[in-house]
Order: sequence, then structure tokens, then C-alpha cells
Amino acid sequence: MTVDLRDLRKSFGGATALGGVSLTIQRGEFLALLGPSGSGKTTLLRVLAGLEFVDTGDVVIDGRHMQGVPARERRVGLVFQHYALFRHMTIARNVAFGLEVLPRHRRPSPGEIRDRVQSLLELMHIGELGARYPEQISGGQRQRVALARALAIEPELLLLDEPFGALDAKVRKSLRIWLRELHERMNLTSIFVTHDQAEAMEMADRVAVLRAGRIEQVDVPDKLYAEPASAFVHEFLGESVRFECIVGQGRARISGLPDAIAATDCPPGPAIALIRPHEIGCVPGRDQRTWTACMPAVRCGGYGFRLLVRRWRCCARTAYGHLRPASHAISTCRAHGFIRRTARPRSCGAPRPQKSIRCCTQRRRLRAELVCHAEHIVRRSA
Amino acid sequence: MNQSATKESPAVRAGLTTLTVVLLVVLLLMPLVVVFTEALWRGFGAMLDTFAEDDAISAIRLTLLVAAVSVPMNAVCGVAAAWCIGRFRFIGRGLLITLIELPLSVSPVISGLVWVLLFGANGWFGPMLSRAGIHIIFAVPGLILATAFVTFPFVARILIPLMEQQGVAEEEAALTLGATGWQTFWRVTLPNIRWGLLYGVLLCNARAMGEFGAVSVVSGHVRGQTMTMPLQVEALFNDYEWVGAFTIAGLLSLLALLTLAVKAMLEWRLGERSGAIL
Repeated sequence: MTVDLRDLRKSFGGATALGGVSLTIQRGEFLALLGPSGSGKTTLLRVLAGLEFVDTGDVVIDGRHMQGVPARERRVGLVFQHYALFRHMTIARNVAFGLEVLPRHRRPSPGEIRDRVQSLLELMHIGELGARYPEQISGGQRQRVALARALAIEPELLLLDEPFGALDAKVRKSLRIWLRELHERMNLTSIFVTHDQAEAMEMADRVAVLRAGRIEQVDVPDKLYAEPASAFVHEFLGESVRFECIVGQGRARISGLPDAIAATDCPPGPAIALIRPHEIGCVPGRDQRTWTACMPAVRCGGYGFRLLVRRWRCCARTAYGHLRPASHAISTCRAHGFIRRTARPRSCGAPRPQKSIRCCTQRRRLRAELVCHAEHIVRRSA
Repeated sequence: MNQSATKESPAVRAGLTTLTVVLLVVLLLMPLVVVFTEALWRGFGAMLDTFAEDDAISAIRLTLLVAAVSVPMNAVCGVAAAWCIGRFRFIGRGLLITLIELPLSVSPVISGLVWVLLFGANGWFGPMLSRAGIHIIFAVPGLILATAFVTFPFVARILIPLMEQQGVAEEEAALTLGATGWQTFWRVTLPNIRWGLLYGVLLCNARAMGEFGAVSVVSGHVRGQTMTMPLQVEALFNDYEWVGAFTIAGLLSLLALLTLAVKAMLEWRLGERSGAIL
């Protein structure tokens, strides 16, 4: 089932929920709609399900124009964020609902319905829960029931609204893999909404990043991370550190870092470079001219050391960086950066003399210098 | 000693409790006792004789008829009103809520008078209707209209907060699963509000059977024809037929007590299931 969204626009009162969304979802694809709250991702999902209608634009599912087609005729499975299970029905009745409301000539016999429900519940590994009520089962189980209920009508398009939003971290991780496998096994086309970028990156074939009712970028997770199309995408996916820089003659110089020069097509003037923390390395200072990072604290963090870097007076904020163990630190690292114009120039103070830092895990003093080369620079769109 | 901020001294507590109990006995329990003792004053046989009279039987029958028509009518209208207020945001929603509550704040006598002004012999539509041979005032339709007006808020007022709290997610789920609007209503909406609806219907019924003011204005007091039970009580009382008056009053009280008992049971049931009393 191919889903084609053509310039969807929708506003509630004065607020724009969708500001021109165009997107094509291929058959069998698992697409994530990722964005901060209020970015229009749930609205988009509801438009697809037929619970919301757009002001202008068109939804085309398998060549069929959906404008004006009510939800019940779309055969689209929707899993709600809080599941919306029918609280007065048993789990089995919940799952059977979509079959029981079919017109008489298409409705399977009660025995068939029972068998189908049971096999769906077993597929979800909750075969024994059929006689219980929604309030008697756990959140993870409810999630599976909601999924079984949506799948009972044999939809070709499955929509999931924050499917793991209400679950604890551990259950969430195991369900991710399981859901992805289910998608493959049942030959579905799935679209799911999330604000958790790790979830989107891990599960989806492609991720559409939404911001204020528009799609910022649609791409496979790797490319989205490596080649963000805008500053928003760069900052939204993973951590990023901002650096003041000056753009001139097609090159960006990061203030206070004479070695950090990168080519850019950004217009001349003051700008912001966005760099992934793990792409920043620390090397020992050579002489007074080299800029040295002032590092008030070092914390142990997973695969590297997490470094609190207080930058120069021009931006007296604290940012996180990753410090590799000292032996690996003496290398200039690659950086995928992003350079953005700022409204007005900010004065950068003169480099302060070198300061030593204490690395709490290694118990030895280490002088460090921050060097980064931005290799890939993307201009901010709009 | 643990002195909590909300704890009063024993003397104050005892005083307030006594006051409440005394008031309850004087204001609520004693009248009830009086009703039954007066009814049984001449013995059980005399009391039963009341029901041998045609007027009494017709009053009981009329009361049941009025309730049987106005209560279902209000249940349907109440569900419809609660549905559109609880589910949608529209201009005039606040006004609609106020209108629904209007009968509670208007004196029942005025509620009755409105119908007389509309459909009475000298009312707006009265002459037109009487030419067509339709009689509303001083007839059963008037009684039903007046009762329905007074009891309109009960169902809607209970269902509005309930439906607002439950939200639309389940209904939307039903729609995406292929249910029609009608199927959604019968299979999802109605089962979810059934206890609240029953509770509202009970209150509505209690008031419909006991309504006096509005009904009195539109009834015309034709014995054996337009006298409901409360009106019959008054008429018998004015005729110094104490036993008859109190017997019918006792019957009404029994109905009220029964309603209370069922209501208490429902509250307990509702409280247990949803963790929230209406």
C-alpha cells in the first residue's frame, strides 16, 4: 500500500498544525514521524486515519483519494497513545470488535471470530488474557491488546501514535524489536509517531523530522544523523555543541580556535557552528597561541569520558563533550559541523592562559586543547 | 498529643454532631414517621380502603403515565445534550449548559405557568390548538410537558462531567475499527455511561413522580382525570380525609425511599468501579 501525502495543510483556529506536508510512503515501509510536541505529527497521523480532515491537500492511499472518506471505510489500523481500549469489554471482545461490527454479509461466524481473536492474542504472546478486562492487565499488555485489536481488521496500513510512550524503559526496548519483527512478518506498511529520536532511529526504515507542521527532512536514519539538512535536525537528533564562528571568503573560523577552519557556503558574517560532541577531541596544548578548553569537571560516561566544557566568555554556557582516554586524545578529530548565521556579532574575549584540568577517573593532570575540523557543512534552509 | 490542624476539640465535635442528628430527626425522620403513623391511624383496613376509590387509582395511574412518558423523553434528550456538550466545543456551549440548568433555578410554579401562557385558552398557541381539537392545558399532555420541563436537567447534568472525563478516544477507536456511528453509540458510548445514565434516570423519576408546583398549575384539578398523586394528596387533605391523604403520601414516600436505596447502591457500585462518585 503506497501512501501519498500531497501538500497537506490544516489549522485549528489560528494555530497551524500542518503547514504543507508532502510525503510518499512506500509499500512495506516502516516510517517514523519524529518531532517535538506540537510539531503536528499526531495531527498528521489522525488525518491519515480519517479522524481529522485537512483544509487543503490530498491523501492518496493506493491511488484512492481519501478526502471525505470516513475513518471506518479506510481500513487503517490505529493504535492510540493511551490505547483507548474499550473498558467495559473483555480483552477478547476488544480484539473481536472490528470483526463484530462488519456488515452481516462480510462478518465471519462467531466461531471464526473466536479463533481469529485467539490466534491474534497468541501472536502477541497474550493468549491467556482473553477473559480479563483492560484495567486488570499491565501497560505493556494493554499495548499488545491495542495492537491486536488494530490488526484484527487486517489493515494494510498500520498507524501507531507514540506506541511506547506510556511504558517504562525496559519494556519499551524489548517491544521495539518485537514490533519491528511483527511489521516484517505481517507484511505491513507502518507509520509511527514518536518524540524519542533513539526509538525512531532504531526502528524505522526512514525518519521524517517534523517541525511546526512542516517536514524538515526525510531520510534513512544514518543519513539523517550524518547529513542533517538543517540546524534543527542537527540539534534534534543527538547532542550537538554550538560554537560561535565567523564566516568570510567561504570559510568559517571558530572563534578562538585558529585550527578550526571549514569551508562553507554560508553568507559572510557571524554564525554558529554545530558539532557533535563525540567529534570533538582534546589534545595537549603546544604553545601560548593555541586555544585551550577550560574544563571544570570530567565525568565518566559510557564509552568515553563525558566532559563538561565551559567555553569562553562569548558564550558562558556549559556544554557536554566526549573526552576519549588520554592515549587516544592526541589526534585531531573529524567533525561534521553545521554553520548557521546569528543575528548579531558577539564579542569574544581574548584567549585566557592555559588551564589544567583534573580528570577524575585517571587521577592525572592533563592539559587539553580543543581542535575541530568541520568537514561537512550544511547551510541552514530557510 | 497529636493536635492536627483540622481537628476540633471534643466538645465542639460532640456539639456539632448532636446538632446534625437533632436536625436530621426533626426535619427528615419525623415527617416520614408522621406520614406512616397518620396513614395507619384508623388501622390497616382503612388505609387499604383508600385504594378502592377510583380517584386514587386514577391518580396513581396518571402519575405512572406521566413518569413513563417524561422520564424516557428526558433520558434520550439528556444523553443527546450531554453528548454534544461533553464531546464538542462550539459557540454557545456555555449558554446551552445554562439553559439545561434553568429548570433547577426557576420556581416550579413558573415552570407550569409558562405552559399555561403558551398553550392556555388565552395563550399564544392556545386558540389555534383548541380549534384543532388539541387540549394541552388542564389535560395529560400539559402534565407531561410541565413534568418534563422540571426534570430535564437531571440526566444531562450527571452525564456531562462523566462524558467529558471519559473523552472521545474509545469512540474514535471504534470508528477506525469500522463501526458506524450507531454501532459506536450502542456498543461503546452507552455501555460506558450506563451507570451514570441509570443514576440520572432514577433522580429524574423521583422528581417526576413527586412534582407538585408545575403540575398543579397546568392540571386544572379535575378529579379522576388530571390529578397526579401529589395533587391527590393535597385534595384529600383539604377535604379532611386524613387517612387517604397520608396513605397516598406514604406510597409516594415509599417510592422515594426505594429510589434512594437503589441510588445508594449505584453510588457504591460507581465508586467502586471508577474510583469517582459522579
